[in-house]
Amino acid sequence: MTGAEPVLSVRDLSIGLPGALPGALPGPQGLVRVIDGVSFDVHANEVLCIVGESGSGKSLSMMACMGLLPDAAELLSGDILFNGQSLLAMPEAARRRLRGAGMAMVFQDPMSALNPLMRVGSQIAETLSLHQPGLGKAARRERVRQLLGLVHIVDPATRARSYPHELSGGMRQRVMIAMAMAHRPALLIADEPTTALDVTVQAQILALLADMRRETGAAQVLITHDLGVVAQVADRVAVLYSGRVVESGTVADIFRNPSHPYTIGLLASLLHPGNRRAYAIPGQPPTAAQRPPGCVFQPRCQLGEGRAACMGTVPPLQALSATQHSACLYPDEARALRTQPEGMRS
Amino acid sequence: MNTARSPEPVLEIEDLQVHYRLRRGLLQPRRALRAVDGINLALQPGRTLGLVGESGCGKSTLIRTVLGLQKPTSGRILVQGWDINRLSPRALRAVRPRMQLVFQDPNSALNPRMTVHDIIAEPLRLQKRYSRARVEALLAQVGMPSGAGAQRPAAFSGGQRQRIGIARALALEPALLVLDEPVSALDVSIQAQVINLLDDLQQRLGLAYLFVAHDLSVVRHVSHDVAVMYLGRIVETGPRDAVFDRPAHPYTRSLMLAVPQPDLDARLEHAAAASRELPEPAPAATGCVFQPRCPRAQPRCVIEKPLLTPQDDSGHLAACWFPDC
Repeated sequence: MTGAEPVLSVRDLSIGLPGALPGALPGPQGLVRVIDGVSFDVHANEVLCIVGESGSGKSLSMMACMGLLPDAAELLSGDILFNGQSLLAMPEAARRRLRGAGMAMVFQDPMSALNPLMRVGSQIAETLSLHQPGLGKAARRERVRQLLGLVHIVDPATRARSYPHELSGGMRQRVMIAMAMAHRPALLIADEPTTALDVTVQAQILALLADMRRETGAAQVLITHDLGVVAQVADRVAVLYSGRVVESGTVADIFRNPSHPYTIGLLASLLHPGNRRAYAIPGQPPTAAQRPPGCVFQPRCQLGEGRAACMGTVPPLQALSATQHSACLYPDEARALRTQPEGMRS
Repeated sequence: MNTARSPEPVLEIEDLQVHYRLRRGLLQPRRALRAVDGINLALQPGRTLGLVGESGCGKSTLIRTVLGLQKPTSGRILVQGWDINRLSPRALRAVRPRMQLVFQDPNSALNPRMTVHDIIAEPLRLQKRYSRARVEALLAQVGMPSGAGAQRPAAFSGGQRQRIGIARALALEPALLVLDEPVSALDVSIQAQVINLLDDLQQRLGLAYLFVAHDLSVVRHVSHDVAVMYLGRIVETGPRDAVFDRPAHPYTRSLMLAVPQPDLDARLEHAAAASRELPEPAPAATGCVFQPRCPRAQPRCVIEKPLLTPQDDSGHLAACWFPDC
């Protein structure tokens, strides 16, 4: 997959939101840089998992890719390329054609993403008529049935006539996926698609997303905070912390050879049977308005304490291998943290 | 683990039934939904009972009934020996402070217009036990910085707000904390901090925890004993290691297999487990509750209801005709 052009390429993206937070130090034009120079690529047939805490900018960067940023948000720098074309330079009409047909998104909470007053079949049909206006009524109904069958909904003809509240959480998420797959998009973005679901249903939805990828060869971006999900489905991983990518690599790079103290701390804070004490990363993540100077993780980092280099400049993402990048100035020392005795094991 | 059973449990649930009457349509007959269908549990001081189950299994009804917010259809709830549904209102007011609830979402559980000090002082004032020093001691106990009391919840992160919620729950010196998904709204790096705090508080104060969560790795970490709930019944219970290492009930096993492990070597197994789809839960008219979804159901499972039976001598029980260890 290297060499081929990525389906989605995000380059040095920065997004500002008005600094309404109490005690915020607004940047230029009163905006807080919620996303601060984020870059990543996703290729066809590949799952990129974006990992990060709430407020790290995971969802906002994906909304930017979909062209669904809130009005108050402002693009401060960077570009987003879809199959080599700049989305930001594209007129809104062209973007609207792309949305749904070229790229689609599945949201965390299907109950609030679906229209409660419309039968789910009609909602899928609406998506179809937007991008395929020539499709007749009967053909559309047939296609809705096919799509519901594709996501393993039993008795699709009956279910198409259901309202969202009549379906279980898992079925609603299947409907969302059916809608997203309606035009076989080259890119599917799923924002915490299983967070609101029970574990047995979560496993089914993850399996369904994998089926969809095999079926269409689409690129998938999965936003999640669950490292278990990442280990099970990711090909590549980007770790976000306070609006910046701090580490990226293949799933094996991240789990077997993590090289940023934040990634290492996250893996160490996983609970293991047998550890009486859980490892906790000390401190709290900073808000976007109050990022420390230099490395954003430095105040919580065991390596960064008192080191002028960590507080001086923002460490760039540096290549450690053909696949792995880390924004730590001391990746070798970071790796050594994993073998330290004080309970920081994974 | 079970040898240390003290004579008086903090909480005893005896053959609890909670039914709701449903009416599907105007002309259709009423139907009873058995949200809690015959549950027995006991919890000792200083111990944590982890309660696991998927949405709709009756966890929330059980919690509400334990806290006296829902009347049981039958059965008893004893808190430190007091049957909370037989007490006079006055006696109930004296018993209620002994059990407290910590909510899942600290953002909606704390009044945004009140200062942290007033939030924690409120239960103390209601019981006429308020003192400024007590509130400050409570804040210190949960690891909040001094001076936090003067601020409002918005000034704090999710993890700190959960600490405030815990401080409020501790204000009246309860014996039992009901923790309803206390860490599931928190980020991974913060979850561990709150879990360690709960561990410290239990050691120091001898609290009993009824810990309800859907995250099995959290439950495995915090619990001494575990109960797995399915459609209103406990299908498996016992000491934590017995249940997790040797799950006997097929439902417990499918729950455990469904959890994505943060382990690359488990990728194939997980994909295989996910492809063995469990049908949607539907109550069975007779026999075992899990039988319509069970991969190994036999004719006997359709006819006869399995009771919780010992799997060994550790207190590990499972309600299955064909348990496997």
